[in-house]
Amino acid sequence: MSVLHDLALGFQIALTWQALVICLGGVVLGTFVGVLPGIGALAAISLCLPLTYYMEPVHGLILLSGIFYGAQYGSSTSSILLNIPGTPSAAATCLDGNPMARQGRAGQALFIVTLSSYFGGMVGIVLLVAFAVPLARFALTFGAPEYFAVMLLGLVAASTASPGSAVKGLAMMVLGLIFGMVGTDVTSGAYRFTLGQIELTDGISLVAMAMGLFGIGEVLSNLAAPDVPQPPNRGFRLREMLPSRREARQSVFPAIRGSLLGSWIGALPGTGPAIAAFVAYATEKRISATPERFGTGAVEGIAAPEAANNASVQAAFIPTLCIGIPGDAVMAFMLGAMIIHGIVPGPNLISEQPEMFWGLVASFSVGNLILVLLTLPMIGLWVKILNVPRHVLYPLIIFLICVGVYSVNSSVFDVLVAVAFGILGFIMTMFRYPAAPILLGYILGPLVEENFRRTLFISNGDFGAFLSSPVAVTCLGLVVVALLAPAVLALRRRQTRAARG
Amino acid sequence: MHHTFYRIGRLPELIFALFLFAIGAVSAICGWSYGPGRLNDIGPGAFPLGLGVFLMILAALALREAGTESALSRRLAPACFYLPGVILWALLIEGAGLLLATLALILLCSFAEEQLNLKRALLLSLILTAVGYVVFILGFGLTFNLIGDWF
Repeated sequence: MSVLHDLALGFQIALTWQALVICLGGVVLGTFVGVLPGIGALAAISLCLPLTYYMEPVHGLILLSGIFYGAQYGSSTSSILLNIPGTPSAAATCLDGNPMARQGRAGQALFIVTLSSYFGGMVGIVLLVAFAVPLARFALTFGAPEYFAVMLLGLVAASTASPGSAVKGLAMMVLGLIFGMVGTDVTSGAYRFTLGQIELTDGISLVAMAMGLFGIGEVLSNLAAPDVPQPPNRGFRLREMLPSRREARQSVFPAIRGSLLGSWIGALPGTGPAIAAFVAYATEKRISATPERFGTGAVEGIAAPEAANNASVQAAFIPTLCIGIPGDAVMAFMLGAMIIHGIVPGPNLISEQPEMFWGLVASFSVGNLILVLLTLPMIGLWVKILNVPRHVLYPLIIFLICVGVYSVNSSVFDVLVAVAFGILGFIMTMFRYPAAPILLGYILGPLVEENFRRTLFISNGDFGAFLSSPVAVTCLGLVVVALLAPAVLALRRRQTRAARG
Repeated sequence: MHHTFYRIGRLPELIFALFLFAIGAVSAICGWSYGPGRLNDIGPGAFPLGLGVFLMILAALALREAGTESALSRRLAPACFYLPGVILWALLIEGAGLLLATLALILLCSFAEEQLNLKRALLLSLILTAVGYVVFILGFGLTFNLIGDWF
């Protein structure tokens, strides 16, 4: 019964009017950036991080996570209407969502997607509640070698599992680790890579880096890309959107399967909502009696991936909050935000700050409900956001980035750092280098180094210490698999090509 | 005039991979000079050294991948206005204040449009300054000036 007691504590925090207003603000902003193609949750989260300095830590985290899961709801809108995913996690929804829209069933698609998203999100939250305490208790036994191994697995899995080239993902992860070394070395006090700048002795500012890579970089990439078409603007009244009984029945089991798959995948290190959505889509297609319907507007093809990506974003909080190890870039950012607020994420978080953990979990369930109530009746309004002219939208975002970066430390230097990362992010997207591994590496870098050095210090230089426990051995084994898998796949592809002639 | 799309070919990607290689080399050299330490007492230079070597290897592998995917066509003009706009904002914010810095930023951003609409740009920068003043200076009590010390 202690779970009920803890949840009651959580709701006491999540249902105060400040928390409700902040949660509402977070999910609205999240939906907004989710709907807009090209501007992702990370840009909005880094934009709002300075605002959380003026809030209670739990309110700050409610705001930032609200943006993250809110963006998953919004992102399917432009997938369905424009065939352009609002965030990468909704790419799978394009496959059947857009054909549905072209058949005049856009309203039904949006309705089904919203309800499956809600269902998936709630399943993810239930699993978070169920597994948090046991997992945290297990993680209490972790020492430096286990932490090192789990973090290394997260880094390698996240950079090789992202779509596109594994080499480019790994290179960006290593670059991020190097950026994480900038500043004063915690163990020895030596300055590293400070270029003689006093501003860099505390390291690169997280806000400046994230806003440069994901704010300025994405705005520049959007401006550089061909123009986005305009969406249709009719048929979004609630009555017109109700799916037929057959469509509703067809979407129930895919939503359940998607939620379970998504929450399992989301809790793994290195995977994210995009992978969860694609795995759910592929699974539905494989087990379907009529796989040929997929790609032509099958309801299963939108219900499963949307349930999966929303389940995975809630489940992604499990390793972050219970072990203190983030699985992807957004969670790494949340970890960075917690550290800035003076919270030590890790297995002790739940027992030492129960109001923080349970308040956050309770706010997830409140936020998901707000999102359904907000999305369904107001979908016409969200669709109109796609019509906001870019000559207003992009200068506005750039202005907010300038003010946001500058305000953290009243530092002109930080704004120039953001410009540098903006240029880097812009160039990287042109050559298809992923930006998320940089952020993950940057935040995990100091932690990885600390645990590596501590392990060898304790073992007096014996590398066998890294293989001293089953957890560490398993994780390091999976690292080797994750590194070798792309190479083996490439080799096999070359062989089949050679065999064909 | 800003409509020009440039095909992003293989050469720039090769240059970017070489740039990554150079960062790796710099990191490795710096790491060496910071002192890699001993096995039971890892120094501050060990990670920069090791990561630098890894980055050089990965950059070399990325060099081989350059140009294997279909080339993209991209507009480069907007970046040439937005980036100087942000730099100008940063240089003006302390001396000239929020109003002038925002005006300069929005005007430069507007030059990135196909047709410059001066009236619209002025209006937008005034609205943004007003919003910025109300939200950040009055609302959050941030310490920047609407009109800077230069005046």
